[in-house]
Amino acid sequence: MAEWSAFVGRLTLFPSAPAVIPLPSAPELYRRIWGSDPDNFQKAQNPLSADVAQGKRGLMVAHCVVHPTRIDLNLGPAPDSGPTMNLPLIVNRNGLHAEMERMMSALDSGGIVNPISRVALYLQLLSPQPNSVKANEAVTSIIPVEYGVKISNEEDFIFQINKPYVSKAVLGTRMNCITKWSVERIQVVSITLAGGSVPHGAQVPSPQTTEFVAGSMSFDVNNLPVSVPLPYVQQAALLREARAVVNRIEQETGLNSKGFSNAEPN
Amino acid sequence: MPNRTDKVYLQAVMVSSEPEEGGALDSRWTGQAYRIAPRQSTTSGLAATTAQSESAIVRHMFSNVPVIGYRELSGDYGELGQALSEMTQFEQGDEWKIEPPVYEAARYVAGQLMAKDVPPPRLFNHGPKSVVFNWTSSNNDKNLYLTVSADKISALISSPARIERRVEIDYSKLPNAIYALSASIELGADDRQIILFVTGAASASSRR
Repeated sequence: MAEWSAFVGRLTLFPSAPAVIPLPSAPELYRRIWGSDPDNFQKAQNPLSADVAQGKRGLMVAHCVVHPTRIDLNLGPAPDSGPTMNLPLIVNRNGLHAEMERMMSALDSGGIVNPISRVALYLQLLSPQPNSVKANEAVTSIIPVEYGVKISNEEDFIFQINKPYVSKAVLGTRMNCITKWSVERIQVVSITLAGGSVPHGAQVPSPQTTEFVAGSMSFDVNNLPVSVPLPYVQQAALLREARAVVNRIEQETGLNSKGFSNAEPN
Repeated sequence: MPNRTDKVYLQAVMVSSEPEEGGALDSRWTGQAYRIAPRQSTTSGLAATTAQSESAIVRHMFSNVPVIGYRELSGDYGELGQALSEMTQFEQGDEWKIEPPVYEAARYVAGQLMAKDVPPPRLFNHGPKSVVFNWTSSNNDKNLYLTVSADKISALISSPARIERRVEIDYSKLPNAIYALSASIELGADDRQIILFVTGAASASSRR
């Protein structure tokens, strides 16, 4: 059976109205969640662009992205610095869950006080394969048989469903629960940065691009926007419930996710 | 079905495509010249909206949360954001100056429009307490004015002959309400040019 690893984990929060209290800056938000300064900060050059703060968290990279209309908290794999170019993946799945829990705890304790009308949890898992045929096999092996999806050598495969549910954590809140299976081609570009000064006339190495084919399964769980903003305790409650739903679907699918010991309570 | 409207409002912003006596040129914006066209509020052309309803297919949608783009803004939305930013930096009393809550509201609305791929609007100054976003239909027969204040948004669709519709939009209904309105006047692809105008605010009608 194909092996799957996490590629991206993300929490998104949508302010319900223009900020009466200014949204936190990206580095400030990073500090509130992780208690330390980010490694990098890119201030928005335009009021309609996003502030981005980034820092390394073990074998992962965390990004806080603050835009006037949304806040994204992303976790992805740290770039691979080895001699061979591999598709970077999050090999420590429990570490990913711990970092996501840290984000939710920050929400729980009022890390973002602005009114929020919608929250979303996104998780993508990948299974790198040598070609599309193998990737099709990997993906179709985890699509429930009742959907009857059969493919062989087709390319650009996508199959998506939404199984909405009503939240028990925040009564009456309707949630979208979207699962998408697909085969994706992912390009990784590697740029070699010369250390120190480059002698005049020296040849600068050109960027190397490598393409990978991977089976993909992603989850997008989000609530329908509500007219009365969600208190921050409810934001975290909806997201924890969404994570538990994702874990359950993963287990039902029989997906063999690398580094995932199912330590989390459902 | 869209709500029908049964209210008539005075519209403070009136924009002419013809040179206006008393207008002036202003070139503070990125080397381009923009006509200042203070206009007097007027009731001529106002018409009470009659009971009517329209439906339009706006687009098919999934429930996914879209991924935010990290790319730097370029082109017209970039200019719009820059213009909004500069409007906060004028001295108090300057007719271009907008208050910080208006700036926050305008960038929030602009961000929503951009996320929905609505063509960028023209930007009108409207005193310190609001800004106006404007679109013209591809055949130039309709205009959509969106007056953005700190706590509310109002939209107006007008033709050369009359005001056709005026609606108040709740922030919770963004951005679909604006998307539907902009779709209803059939914006053309070539309407993606930012043009900045200054008009008289509602209280400045005596400037004429």
